Amino acid sequence: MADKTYILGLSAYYHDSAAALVCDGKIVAAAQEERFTRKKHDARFPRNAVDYCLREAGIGTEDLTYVAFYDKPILKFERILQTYLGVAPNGIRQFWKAMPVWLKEKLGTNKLIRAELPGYTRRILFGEHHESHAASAFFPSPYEEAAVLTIDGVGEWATTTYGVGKGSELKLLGEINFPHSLGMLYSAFTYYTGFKVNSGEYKVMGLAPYGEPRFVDQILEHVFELREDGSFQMRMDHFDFLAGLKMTNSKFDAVFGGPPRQPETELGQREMDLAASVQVVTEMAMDKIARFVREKTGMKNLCLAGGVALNCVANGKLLRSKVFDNIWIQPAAGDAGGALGVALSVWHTYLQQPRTLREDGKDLQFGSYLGPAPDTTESKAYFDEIGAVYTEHSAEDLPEAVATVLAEEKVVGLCQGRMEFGPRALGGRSILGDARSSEMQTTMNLKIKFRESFRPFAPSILEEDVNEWFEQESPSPYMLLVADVRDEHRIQMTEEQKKLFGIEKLKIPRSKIPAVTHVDYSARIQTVSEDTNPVYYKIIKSFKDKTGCPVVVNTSFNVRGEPIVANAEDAYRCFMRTNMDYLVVDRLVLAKTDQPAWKEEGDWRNEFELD
Amino acid sequence: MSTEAPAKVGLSPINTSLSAPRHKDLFLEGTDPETAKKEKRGQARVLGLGFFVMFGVVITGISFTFNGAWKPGHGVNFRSLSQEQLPGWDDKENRVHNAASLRWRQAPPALTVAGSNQGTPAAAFDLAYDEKDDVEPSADQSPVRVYVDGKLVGTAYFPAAALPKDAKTEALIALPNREPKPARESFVHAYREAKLLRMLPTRYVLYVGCVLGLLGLLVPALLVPFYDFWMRYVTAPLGWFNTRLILTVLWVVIFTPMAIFRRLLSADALRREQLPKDQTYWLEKKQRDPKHFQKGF
Repeated sequence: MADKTYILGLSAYYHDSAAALVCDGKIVAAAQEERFTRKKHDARFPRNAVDYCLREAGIGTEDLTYVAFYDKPILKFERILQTYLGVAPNGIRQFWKAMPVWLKEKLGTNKLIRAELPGYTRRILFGEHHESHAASAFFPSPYEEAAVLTIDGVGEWATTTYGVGKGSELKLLGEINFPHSLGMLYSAFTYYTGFKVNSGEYKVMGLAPYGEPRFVDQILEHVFELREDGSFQMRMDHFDFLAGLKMTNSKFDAVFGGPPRQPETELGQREMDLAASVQVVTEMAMDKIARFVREKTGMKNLCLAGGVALNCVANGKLLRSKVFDNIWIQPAAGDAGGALGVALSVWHTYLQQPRTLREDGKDLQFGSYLGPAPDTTESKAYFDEIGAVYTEHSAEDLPEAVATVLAEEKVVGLCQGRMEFGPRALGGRSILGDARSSEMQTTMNLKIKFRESFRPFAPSILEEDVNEWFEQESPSPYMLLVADVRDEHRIQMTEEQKKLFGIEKLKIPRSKIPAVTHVDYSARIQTVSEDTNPVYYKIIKSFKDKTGCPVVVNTSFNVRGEPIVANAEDAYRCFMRTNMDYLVVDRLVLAKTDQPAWKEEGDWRNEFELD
Repeated sequence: MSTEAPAKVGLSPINTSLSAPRHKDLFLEGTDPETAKKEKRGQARVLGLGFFVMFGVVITGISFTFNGAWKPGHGVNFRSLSQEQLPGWDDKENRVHNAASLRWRQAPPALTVAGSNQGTPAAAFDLAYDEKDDVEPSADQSPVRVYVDGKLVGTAYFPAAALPKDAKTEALIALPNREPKPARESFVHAYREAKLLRMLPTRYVLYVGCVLGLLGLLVPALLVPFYDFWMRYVTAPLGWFNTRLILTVLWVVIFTPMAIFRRLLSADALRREQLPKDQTYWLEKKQRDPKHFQKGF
C-alpha cells in the first residue's frame, strides 16, 4: 500500500459537502453527501461519501496518505471578522447567528475532521478555496496549458480569480475580493425574484429567456459597476448581506421598483425581466473578464470552475464569442468540486507531481461518472424483498428495449453505471423522455418532477450528431453549455404568437424537439460519447435508429427538492411516487403497470423542503 | 469503459465485490434506535442525579445553612432574633423586660403567672400574662413570632423603636435548664420554616431533588420525557440567551469601538470605496509557498 499515494479531498460545513479520492494523481471516486443522506445540499461532514470513496478503492482510513480540506477556515473566519468590523454597530444579528458555529465548530475544522476519520493520523492539509476550484478546473482538463478562471459567491476572500496552468503547475495571478462578487450579485437577484439562495440560481437562469432585459442599465448604474477590464465593484449600500440576514435592502428595492417577490407566489413578467437582466449582466461580466484573462495570459484554452461556471447559458455565449478557442468546465463547478480540486492540488502543487494527459485528447474526468454503481445482485434482492416486478435484460438488448418505450412517449427512469459527480444528471441517474413530443415538457415538470412549469429540460444527443441539430461544434459532455437549435429544425412563430408574453410562449412548439427547446430556441446540451457512458450511448443510438432523432430529454432522477437518486431503493421510491412509466436499474426493467400498489406513510411531498 | 486501450490514465476498475452503499446502512453509530434509547436513558439518569445534587443538596443546603440548621445551640432563623437580640433581653435572668404585649397562640401549660415560673417559656418574658395577654397591639408595635423548642407558641409585640433596624419577626426561645438538642431542633426548624426568596418553602425544593434523584437512580426511563422537556424548553433557551448575551457584550465592547476607530482611520477591508476610472478593481494575487497547505490560514 505504501507505494501508492491516496489523497482524500473534502468539502463540508458550508453547502454541498462531498468527498473525492485521488490515487497517484488519478481520480478514483468522488461523490456528494446529499445523495446518500437524501438531504439536499447536505453540509454535514461527508461521512457516507468518504466511506464510499474508500470502498471503491478498497482501502481504509489508515491507508490514506493525505486528507485535504477544500478551503482555509481560519482565513475565512478572518474575512468574517473583517466584515463585522466593516459594518459594526450594524450586523449584530448576523454576528449572533454565525459566531457560535464558528467558535464551537468551524475554527476546529481540523479536529472535526480527525474525529470523523479514526485511523488517519497524518497531517490534514488545507487548500485555498479558489485554488481548489482552479485545480478542479485545470488538472482534469484535457489541456497541456490553459488560462484558468474561477468565479463564485465567496470562498475565503476571493470571489473571482484567474491564473495560468501549465503542465502540473497552476498559478493564480489576480483576484477580486469579497464582498464584490458576481455570484453574490446573482444570488441577490435569486433572492429578489423569490427563490432560494444557493439553489434557486438555476431557476433564475431558466426564467431569463422569458423576460426582457430592461433592468440592465439600472443594475450597471446603481448596484454593480463593471469596468472594461472585467473587474467590478458592488455598491454595497444596496445590499444587505454584510450586516443583515437578507441579500438586498430597501435601497435596492427602490432602484428596481418594489419589494422582493415572496417565495411560492405567482411569477410575473417583472421577475422574468429581472432574471433576464441579471443574466445579461453576468454574461457581459464573464465576457469582459474572459477577454481580460486572454490578454493577460495569452492562452487559447480556458478552464472554468466556481458556482458561476454552472451558468451554462453564459458559458455557451462565452464559447461562441470565441474569446478562447476551447473551454473546459469542471462539471462539479460548485463547492462539491472543491473536494476534487484540493485533492488534485495536493498531488500536483503540494507534492509537485507531474500531470499526464490522455493520448486521445479527452479530459481526465471520465465523464464525471465517479460515484457508486448499483449492484445487480443487491438491487434484485431489494426488489424481491418488496415484491417489485422486474425483467432482466441482457446488455445487448437493453438499449433496444428502452428506446422502444421511449419512442412510445413513455417516461423512463434510468439508474445505471456509476453515479455522476456534480449537479447534472448525465445518463447515469436520469429521467428520459421523447424530445419530439410537445407535451413532454409540461408532463415531466408537473407530473414527474412536481416543479414549476416554466423550467426547461435538457437534451442528450449523440456526440457525433451535435452539430446537425445545434449551433455547436465541440462536445459538451457535462451539460454546461447552452447552444441554439439549428435553423432547419426550428419552427418559426407566427406574428400572432410573437405577441405573447412570458410563460404563454411556452406552449408553442419551437422546434422539432420541442421538449428540450427553450423559448429562445436554446438548449442545454449534453453530448454523449460511447467512450464514457456506453449504455446511455446505445440507448440514444437505438432511439435514433427507430425515430431518426438522436435526441432524448434528460433530466435528473429526482423530484423537486430531492437529491438525485443514488441506488435501486431511491430510484424505485421516486419511480413509484411519480407518474414515470418505466424504471431501468442496471439491466433490470420495471413497468409501472406491473408493480404492486405503493404504500406510503404521510404525504411524502412534505419530506423534501422546496428548493 | 474506454476501448481505446492505451489511454495513459484510466479509471481503476469498479470494485464489484463492494456493493454500492445504501444510505441507511451507513449511519454507523448513534442512530440504531436501541442504542439511542439506551444513551438517552443514561443522560436522563445523569440529569436526575444532577437535580438531586443541585436541588436536594446544594440549594437546600445553602438555604438551611442560612436558616441556622447546623448551628450549635438553638437555630436562629435568618429572619429571627436570637435570644440576645430580643429587645430588653436580660442575660442573667434569662428574660425579656419590655415586651409591650404577648399574644399566645395557646397558653403553654406551665405558663400561669408571668415571671413566677422559672423553667417555663413564660419565664422568658417579663410581662404580666393576665394584664397584657390578648391586648390588641397598637399600630406602633411590631410583632415577633415566638418559638419555644421549635414550636410556634405565640406573638410578642414590641414597640417598634425597641427592635433592631432590620426588623426581625421571629424569636426562638431556648428552654433554660434543659439540655438542648441543637442539631436536630435546628434542622427541624429550618426544614419547616426555611423559605427560598421568602416565598417557596425550601423543603419543596428538597422533595423535587430527592424524587428526581431516586427516579434517576432506579427508573431512568420514567425521566426521559422530563429530560426531553428540560433540554428543549429550559436548557436550549438558556443556552440561546447566554450565547447572545456574551456575544452582545463582545459586540458592544470590542467590535463596535474597533470598527469606529478603523473608520476614523478610513481603513476599509471591504474596499467599498469607488476607484477613479483609470484604476482597476483587480488585485494582485500573492504567491504562496506550497507549504501553505499545512496551514489552516
